[in-house]
Amino acid sequence: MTSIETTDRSTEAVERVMACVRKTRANTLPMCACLRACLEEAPYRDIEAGLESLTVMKTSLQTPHVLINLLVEAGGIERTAVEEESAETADESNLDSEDQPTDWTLKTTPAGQTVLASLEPAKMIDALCASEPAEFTAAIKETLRACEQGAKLSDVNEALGGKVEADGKSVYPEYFVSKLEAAGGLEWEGCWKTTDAGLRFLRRAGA
Amino acid sequence: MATASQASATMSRRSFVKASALCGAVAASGIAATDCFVKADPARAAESNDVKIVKTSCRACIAACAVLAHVQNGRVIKIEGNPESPMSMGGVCAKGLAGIQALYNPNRLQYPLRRVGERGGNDWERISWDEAITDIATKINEISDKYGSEAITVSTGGGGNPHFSNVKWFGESINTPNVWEPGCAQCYLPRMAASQLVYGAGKPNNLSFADSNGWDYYFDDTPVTSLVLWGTDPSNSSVATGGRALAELRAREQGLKTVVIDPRMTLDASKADVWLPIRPGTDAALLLAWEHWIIENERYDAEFCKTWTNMPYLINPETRLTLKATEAGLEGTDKDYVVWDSKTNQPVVVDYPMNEGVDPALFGTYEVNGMQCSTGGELLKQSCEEWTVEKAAEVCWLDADQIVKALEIYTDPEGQSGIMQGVPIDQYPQSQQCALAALALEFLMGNVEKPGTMLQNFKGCPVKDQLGNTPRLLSKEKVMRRAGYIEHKGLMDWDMCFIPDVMTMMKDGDPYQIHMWFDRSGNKHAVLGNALQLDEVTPNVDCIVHIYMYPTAFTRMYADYALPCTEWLETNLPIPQLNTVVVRQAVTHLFETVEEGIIWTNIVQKCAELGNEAAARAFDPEATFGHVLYKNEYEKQKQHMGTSGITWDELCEKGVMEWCSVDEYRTYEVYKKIDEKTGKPKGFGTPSKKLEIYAESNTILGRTGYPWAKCAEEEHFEVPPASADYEPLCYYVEPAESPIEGAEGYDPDFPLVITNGRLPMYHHGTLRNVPWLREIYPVPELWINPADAEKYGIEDGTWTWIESRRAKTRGLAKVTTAIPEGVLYQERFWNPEFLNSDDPKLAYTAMNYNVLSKTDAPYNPEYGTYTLRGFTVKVYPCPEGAPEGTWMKPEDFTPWLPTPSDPTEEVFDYGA
Repeated sequence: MTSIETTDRSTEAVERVMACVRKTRANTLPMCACLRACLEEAPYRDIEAGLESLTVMKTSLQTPHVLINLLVEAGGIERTAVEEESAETADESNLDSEDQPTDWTLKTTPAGQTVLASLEPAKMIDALCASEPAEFTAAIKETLRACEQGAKLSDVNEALGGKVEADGKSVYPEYFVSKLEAAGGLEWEGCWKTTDAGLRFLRRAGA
Repeated sequence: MATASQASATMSRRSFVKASALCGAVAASGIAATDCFVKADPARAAESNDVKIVKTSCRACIAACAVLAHVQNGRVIKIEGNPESPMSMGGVCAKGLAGIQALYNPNRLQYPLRRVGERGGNDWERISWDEAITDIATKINEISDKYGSEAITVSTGGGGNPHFSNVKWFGESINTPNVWEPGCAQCYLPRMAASQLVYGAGKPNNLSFADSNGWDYYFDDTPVTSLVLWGTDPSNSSVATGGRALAELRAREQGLKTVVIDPRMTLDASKADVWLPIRPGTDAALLLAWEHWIIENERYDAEFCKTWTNMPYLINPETRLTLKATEAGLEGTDKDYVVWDSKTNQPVVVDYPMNEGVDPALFGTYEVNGMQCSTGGELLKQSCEEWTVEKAAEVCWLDADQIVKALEIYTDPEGQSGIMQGVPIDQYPQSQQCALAALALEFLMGNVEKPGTMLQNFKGCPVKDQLGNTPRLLSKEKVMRRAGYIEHKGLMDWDMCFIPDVMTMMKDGDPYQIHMWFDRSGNKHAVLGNALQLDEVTPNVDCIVHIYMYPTAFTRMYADYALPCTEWLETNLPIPQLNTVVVRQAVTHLFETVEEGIIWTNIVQKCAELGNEAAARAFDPEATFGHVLYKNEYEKQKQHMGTSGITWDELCEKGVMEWCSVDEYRTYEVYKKIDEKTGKPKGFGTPSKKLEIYAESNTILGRTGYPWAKCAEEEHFEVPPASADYEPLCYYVEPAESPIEGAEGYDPDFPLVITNGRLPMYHHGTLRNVPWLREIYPVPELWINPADAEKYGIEDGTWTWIESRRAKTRGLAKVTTAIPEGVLYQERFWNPEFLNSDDPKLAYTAMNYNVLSKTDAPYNPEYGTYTLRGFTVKVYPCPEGAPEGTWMKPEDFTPWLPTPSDPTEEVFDYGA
């Protein structure tokens, strides 16, 4: 992953959260999704349920619950216990009730917000392009275009015409697929699909 | 439940330590070893009415010594050697005796685990095998669809019961070309592949004593009079087999002269007639000097060289390959070779094996068809011309007179010698060059397939311990994506890939990202070069599966899934040993462990079930050219037993069975036997049927990939050439990190050369968690010469920092003249006691040789061998000592004492 500039509010706190988010690549975007889901304080069950349905969460081998716990420990999410006036007890009459006891709420901390902002896909895709030679930037755009309507890896291969060479490097098309996925420009939904961030990048690039 | 002491009642700690010391001492002392070992007493065993004796074999290392496992109430209580084995003859070393401790280690992985939380943490959840296999197969299929199956890499290692061919077979079955192991280009492959190219007697016939050859030395009547142990130490590396055999040879009335070429005074060096403590990384220089001396003093077997080597063959100066009749303008084909007849002074087309009445010149340069063509012998002579004994002595830090003394022993015309070449030459970038040169020496001396020689082509056993893999399952397109495929074609012999490229692929995604990693081995930190790179590369790998018997640092720091595999006392494998087959049969089965081959096939089957078409082909006879992946233990056993006519049950009953007589097995001079089709001698397994002193097959390999490049579409397909020719003759290159002032790569800050080497109580990175082994050698010794110790302020028995350009680590100084000035020795190590600590990284940083070693260029051209030995370091005192929590005292290891448990049912169906 390329180096991203962070705002310097609570630097140490931001660094702790960033280290947690970037420790394992497969967890990075799912953790960003967790941070995003907690921007508005909400009960943890609601947040986890919402995250379960997101495609990006499948990248991680961990559940939303585990990822959120890691972020709490790193200081990216604040967990607040909720006092209850009276305990709701289950009996046959309310087993199907939608109302459940709320044990705690979750909210993204300022450090977590800073990290989330710095790892915004648009920035990451820009940073990716900035770190690569021009020929590779062209291949990045081509890959995003090829996946606009959904594409298999073989389609991407065909779109790029096989290996791409520049500056003494020679890479396969999946090089760009992996990089774009990590930057939030592509998502796998049974085929590669350009994300909204990827589409916005293409529009900005005039592609 | 029996206590640990009860379980080990028949082997007290004192007798264990005594036995382990005895094994090593016997191997070194040269006394007759067979009378010293405990023999099984069948009558006594039969009287113990609740003790069953099961014949099996150890797999604590590759020697596979036959043992008798005593089982009482389903628990293994005693191990002793089985005297029926023709190789170990009842001997077993400390590692084998410790099998019970390994089996019942309280830290055994008992069931599949899935990580909960971050890597580096220690929270896991137990899952069922079905869930584990389904999860993993789903991931394989997903990654294959998303990024291509080459985005999955599979690795193994030489320690801890591996079944090498299975892991390659698994990789091919899930359609990835990226299978590797830290050994391979750094262990055995160079010696094996070089021999296949220039000798051609098949995979197990080469100069490695521990891995494969030297079969003649296990028989009493072998006429061998001397041996050169070049970087090999059987007393350490194969205690009860090779070490025992050498001890017996030394104990003969006529004795055995030995030359040991090793920086360390090993047990074998202590008994040698000549010890050459060579500077690590300079073996090629000494080999060239040996070639030079043998040619100059005409000690070579001229008649053998003329008829059975390509030494007299003329070489085309333009192609650098043997001159063919068509190129020479002579009558014949482009497959006919040309020699210069000294009698008639003209070129002659070879009538295989050699023309009657022709005296082919071994040396010289002759004009043929307008070209100046040298003989292979002439080019050999030129390649070593400058390498006098004196020059080699200077480069290798040796005494010239001792080199000559060694040569006199090796070339004694009244004797029969052989070279045993060990792993050190495989561990730095001159691996192929050293392998080819040692073979060239043996060919020059005619030390081939005679009684008493190292190189033998004895009858092959129809029972196979290695089942082979399926390289032709992979398409050409897939094979071409194998890491390092074009540049390091020697890896094709094992269908493996280039590790530094895999590391780059993991870290940077160049030329494509590795997304999933299966590792079946002990602790990669202990054996992979530049071990700390694992911390950098693994974060970008999405899913890591570790398969082993215990958690190691690799499990703790990186694995997402941990799958429990079996210890050797729980596995099945037939092992050819000379003219017998020795069985390894499961004596018990614990927890939910599964033998690794069965894990692999179940994953492949699940992949196929979930729609992976490539995985389904692994079971298709046509796609696999008849080599179908077994589905269960029964099918696996049948494949191992092959066409032998022996059944698995029969072998288990007998334990050790002859598959042919000794006389039928010991087949000498196979190359002279007449091929019925041609009416001519069979010759050797090279294109010319001659031994290649001029290794043109090496050059052809580099240019084309022949004979090992294969794919689904073609049995042999031509691969683009490597960036530079592979040389047909040995040459010397000063190590990239040189201790020689003025040499490129010299850095005064790193003045000392370091090496590692085997110990009898450990095998690679394994067994550091076995208490009675660990207390014999609890921490790694850093051997340092007294002159260096004084110079750098190191005292005997004190902790010392060792620092390379990459990292630093510790060793416990042993000031000794058993290592020469300027050189250090320390064996690989890791510390399992830190796994459950607050700082688990200490497990692989505290005193780990391989954080120091070097995996960047230069690499060996043929295999990509990097530098595990012969790089430079500095040393200075470590007053802070070992990290707190380092286990060193015997009582420290109490938590690892065995906790025996009752046998459990196998997890997967046997299949019969």
